Amino acid sequence: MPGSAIDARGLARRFAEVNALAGVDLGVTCGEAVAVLGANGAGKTTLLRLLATLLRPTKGSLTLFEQPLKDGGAGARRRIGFLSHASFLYPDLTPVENLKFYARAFGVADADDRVDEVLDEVGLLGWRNRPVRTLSRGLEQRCALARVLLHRPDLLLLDEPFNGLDADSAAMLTAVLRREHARGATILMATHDLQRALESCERGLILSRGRIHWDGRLAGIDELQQVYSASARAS
Amino acid sequence: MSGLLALIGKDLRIELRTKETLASLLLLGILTLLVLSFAFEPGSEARGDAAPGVLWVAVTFAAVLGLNRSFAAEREND
Repeated sequence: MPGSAIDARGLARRFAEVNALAGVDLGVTCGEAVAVLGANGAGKTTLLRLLATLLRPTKGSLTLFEQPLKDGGAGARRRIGFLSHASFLYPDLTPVENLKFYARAFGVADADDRVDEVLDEVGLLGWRNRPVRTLSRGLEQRCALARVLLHRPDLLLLDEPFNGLDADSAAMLTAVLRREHARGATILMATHDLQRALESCERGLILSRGRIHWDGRLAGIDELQQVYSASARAS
Repeated sequence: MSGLLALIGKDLRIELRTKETLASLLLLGILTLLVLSFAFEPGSEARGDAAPGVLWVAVTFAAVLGLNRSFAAEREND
């Protein structure tokens, strides 16, 4: 039986007067692919940043891979790949230089080969030696995806990963996600796109006003559209 | 240790490429030395005694500026 990847109990986060997350209970087993859906301001990004250990919860507890986060998450972070709105790339460095830096930071053993491998995987070999600041938004997003995959993380946290991608790049990302899922990685993907959620994930949850409004298996677009609309009306 | 070396190498590579911080550091260092030198009488004995302190003040100010620039690059991604 697969172990637990995420066990969140009463997870809450407050920014000044705003309750971005108001008590989320979430359990995700290893190898699951979960789509996090919800309107703007529902708490999707805050949830992912808490799970990525980039934010500390105001209340509640978080356990990743059956290890409570007592050390602030430094140990768990090695097993996480987080694709955020920010690319976490240095614009004056090339994709190769960025990835080699992250490979050393994560202690990737076969760094040079692995960098070429992930650049090839995201179709960025032709742009490998151009500074990131000269890349388009879509190409930068691909490079950020390469950074996420670099250290072969067990948990992929993806915040709107399809943003800025053209049709070919989006298809590439869907293929990458399927490969990672088949490899056994756990995936949590925040998105507004219900169709993309269905293509890449088997489970979905809908956040509304910082709480989980619906959590279930993703079956078809019609059913998902219904629960999504009901959630939007409720909020 | 490897992570620290990677971090230093990355910062140096960026700086050698852009030379943004280096120019600011040099300007700040020169200005600090110049302004502090006005505080002493030309040719006085006190000026020679204060020189090492003035130099260290300039180095410290420049280091703080460099550190802030380095942190700012990381914050942009936060």
